Amino acid sequence: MMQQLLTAVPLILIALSAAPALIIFMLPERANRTRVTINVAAAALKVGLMAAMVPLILRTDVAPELRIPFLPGTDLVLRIDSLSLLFTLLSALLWLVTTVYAIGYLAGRPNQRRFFGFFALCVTATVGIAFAGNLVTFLVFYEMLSLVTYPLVAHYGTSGALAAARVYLFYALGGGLLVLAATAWLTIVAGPVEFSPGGAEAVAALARDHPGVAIAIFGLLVAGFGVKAALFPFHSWLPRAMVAPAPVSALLHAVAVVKAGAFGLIRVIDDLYGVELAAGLGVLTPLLVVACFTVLYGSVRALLQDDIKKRLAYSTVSQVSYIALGLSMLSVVATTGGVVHLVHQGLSKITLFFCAGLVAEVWGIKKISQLDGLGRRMPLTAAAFTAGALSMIGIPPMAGFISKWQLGAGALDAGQPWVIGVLIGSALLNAAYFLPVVVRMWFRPPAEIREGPVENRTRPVLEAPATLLWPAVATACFAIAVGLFAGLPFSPLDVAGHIAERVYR
Amino acid sequence: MSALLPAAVLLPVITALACLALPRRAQPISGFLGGLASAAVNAAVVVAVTSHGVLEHHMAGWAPPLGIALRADGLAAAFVGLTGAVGFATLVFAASAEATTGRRTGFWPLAMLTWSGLMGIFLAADLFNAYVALEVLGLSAVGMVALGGRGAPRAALRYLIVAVVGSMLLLTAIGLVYAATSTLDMDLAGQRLTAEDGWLPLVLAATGMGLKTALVPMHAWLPPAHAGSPPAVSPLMSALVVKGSFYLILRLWLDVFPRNDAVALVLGVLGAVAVIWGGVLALAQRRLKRIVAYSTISQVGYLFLAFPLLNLPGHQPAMVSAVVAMALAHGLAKAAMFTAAGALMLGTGTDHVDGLVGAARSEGVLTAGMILSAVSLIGLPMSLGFTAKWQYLEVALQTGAWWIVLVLLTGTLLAAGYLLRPLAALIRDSDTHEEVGQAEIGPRPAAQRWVPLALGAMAVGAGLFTTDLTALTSIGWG
Repeated sequence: MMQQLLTAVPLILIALSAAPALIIFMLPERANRTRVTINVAAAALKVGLMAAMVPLILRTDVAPELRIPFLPGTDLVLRIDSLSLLFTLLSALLWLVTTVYAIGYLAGRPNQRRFFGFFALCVTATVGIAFAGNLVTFLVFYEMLSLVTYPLVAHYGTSGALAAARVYLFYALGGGLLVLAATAWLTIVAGPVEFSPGGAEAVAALARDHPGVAIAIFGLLVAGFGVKAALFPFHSWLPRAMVAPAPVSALLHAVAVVKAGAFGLIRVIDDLYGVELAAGLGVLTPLLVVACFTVLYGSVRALLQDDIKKRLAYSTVSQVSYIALGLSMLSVVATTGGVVHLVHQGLSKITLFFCAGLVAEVWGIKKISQLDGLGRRMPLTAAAFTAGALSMIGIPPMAGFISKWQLGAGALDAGQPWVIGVLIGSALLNAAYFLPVVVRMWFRPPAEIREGPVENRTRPVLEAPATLLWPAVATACFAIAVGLFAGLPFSPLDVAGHIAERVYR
Repeated sequence: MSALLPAAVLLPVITALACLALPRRAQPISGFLGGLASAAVNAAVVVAVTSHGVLEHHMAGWAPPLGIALRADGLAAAFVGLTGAVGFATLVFAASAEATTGRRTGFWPLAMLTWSGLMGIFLAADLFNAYVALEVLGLSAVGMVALGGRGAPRAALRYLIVAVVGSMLLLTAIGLVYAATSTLDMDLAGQRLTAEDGWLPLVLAATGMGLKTALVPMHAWLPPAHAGSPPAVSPLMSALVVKGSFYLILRLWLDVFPRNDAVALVLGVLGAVAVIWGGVLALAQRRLKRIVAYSTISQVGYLFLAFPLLNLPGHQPAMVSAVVAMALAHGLAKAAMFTAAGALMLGTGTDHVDGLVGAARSEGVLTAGMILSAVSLIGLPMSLGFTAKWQYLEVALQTGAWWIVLVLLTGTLLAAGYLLRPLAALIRDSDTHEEVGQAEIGPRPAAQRWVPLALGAMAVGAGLFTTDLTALTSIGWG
């Protein structure tokens, strides 16, 4: 009985995002209130369920699992292990806040049914990716994610939006094809392989007998996931996709698309090959170099942007590569840093995107040069942005500091001290493109803005509509809290450490 | 049990005759009921083969070589099932409004004759019956094409020539086989035919069936015939009729002709060219039905791409299962696409992509069907199109056929490219886009919405039953 209940758990959690999507598509466009209720209720319920599962899965090592026969010899496997738990918890939490934000952001605008429907499908795909127990299952949801994100990026329907969405779709599908080719190849040479912490047996055998094939498959997989994770040179879709509405950008950067790629990298390196095996094959060093280069390259490009969202986009290119950087060092501390950065970067970056959307909505500000004196106009927004920016730079005790500390310590532990140079260089660059913004907001007199403030968006008491403002403040608080309380049990750092330890058996 | 087989062939013929005898008003209802009964028989054939193995029926009790035999193994049963599902769904679609069946009368008897011809091909155990059934299929399909509007007579005439030439080539091939083996029974001919006598009839049959299946470079007749047909005809043409001639060459390849690597390679290379070239041509189209028709040329390429892999000892069962999955996936998805395109065309009066902007707002169900069918045509998981492509990939990788891997991956991107244009038009919005107006779509009957969705959902959902399909296909041979 208990066992049956457990197999149903992954399905229930996926249905909890898929069912709202279907219901929303069936509701008429004008049914705003019902749509909002369903959306928020489902998101909140999911957060609650996920949170309830944390102690169960972390303490008792139960992994609820569901198998459906699919291809000859290969099943669809949905399994909730500690890594899926971390990722789903993040996605559930951010889905909730982003839904609230999107409700405010899109109020009174057309096509809400399409937006929220595909938004929920997008989260469904993310959950599926988190639960996938083998590469084939991963691929099912990975491609689904590519597909359902297209209407979100193309939401405004302008020719720029359509073009950007098309570029996005073809990058994503191209990446998916690489993963498909690699998966099929691996299945043939090693049989159906499933993820298991520390690497799968069959892959180890393959690497022993045919190291060349194992390396080639690894390369295909990393390239395929690297497209979504925006690793250089596959990053250029990401800044273009900034034409999407702010909540989409926020979710895309923090948890959905970019993180799906990063999550794929974690699965491949830690749960398919195993770090030690990958290091033995000599594939980690090239990845480390690419990741370091992307970290620096993204930061330099970010420095050159005046458009707020573009700057944030290039910052994402840089920050997500910290995850790959942590994964590609042979040290339990570095792996912890990479995994925990998945959460920390998500919380910080979503805050920044919420704030960018806020200033654009309320004051019509899109350029950094117009942010002067924002601290007087929108103190809470400016404070949230500052928190996010400081976390990105890595100022203690913010979330970003914790990840960077782990990564630095991991670099020493792994015997690659030069990486610390990259980390310091990147931190300086981060400071160079974020600190001036913060200084502008707090210490300059307010700039004249002809168009703003936008009508109907300012409130007598609050600086912005509550549904837009509170999500930003909430995620900023999360970003501070996960840094401050990183030492407590069940903090993201604690969970990440738990995950990393299982990888190094 | 084996009486199901003659029933599967004859019930559609009886229905066609009944439709002919009845006045026009009564044709849809009688055709629909006959289609329902035929679909039930088809389903029964699939169930019977799944549970009891190969079915064989000797007409009037005469065993071959004297009598006529009908046989259903797993391979045949899979196609019988496809015909039942797609045929019945299309008839539901056709019964929804008179406009779907063209300006002239004749759809119902012709559609049922087509059905019967398909059954004859799938179930034939001897060469001559297969030939007769192919003629029935070809001529009734020509008749259906002629039901269309402007340009239809030209397209039909062209298709008639294709059909006749293809059949003549096949008939010559059959004659040569008979001369060499003095039997028309497929199994016996297969046992007796030597490589020396076999190559010429193989080339002739492959050319004829390649022509009728629109294999590049013999494809130019297909777009006007498929895209110009009435809304209820296009799905039958693209999803089923081309499968008839493909099934026949596959069947002859497996059962009659000796292994021939050169022909296999030629067919495979032509298939590869078709996948790419058909995709490129589809990219250049601006009319939805044209896009879907060129997509058929590309997808037919995948079917022929299987021949080099079918030849490899040890991989044949896997490859037959793959090619059957591919054919079924294409049949279901293409029928969904064409019924959806037909419904949109009837609703808006155009099938130009720009005329469909914003149609998803009022036609959500239909759009969902199109998206699902696109998922399968592109080959995204977990659709049947994906599992078929996966099985191709497995065999191609195992045997080191890298060029086939490359074609499969390129074809996927091309399909995404040509299907994105109409789908993006449907789901995007016109009020931010001045140069084109919002599509004014007349309300569609429920059947025209739900048939595409049902077919699309089947194309995607069938992916989960791939192992069952593989088990079914392997019944009776290998």
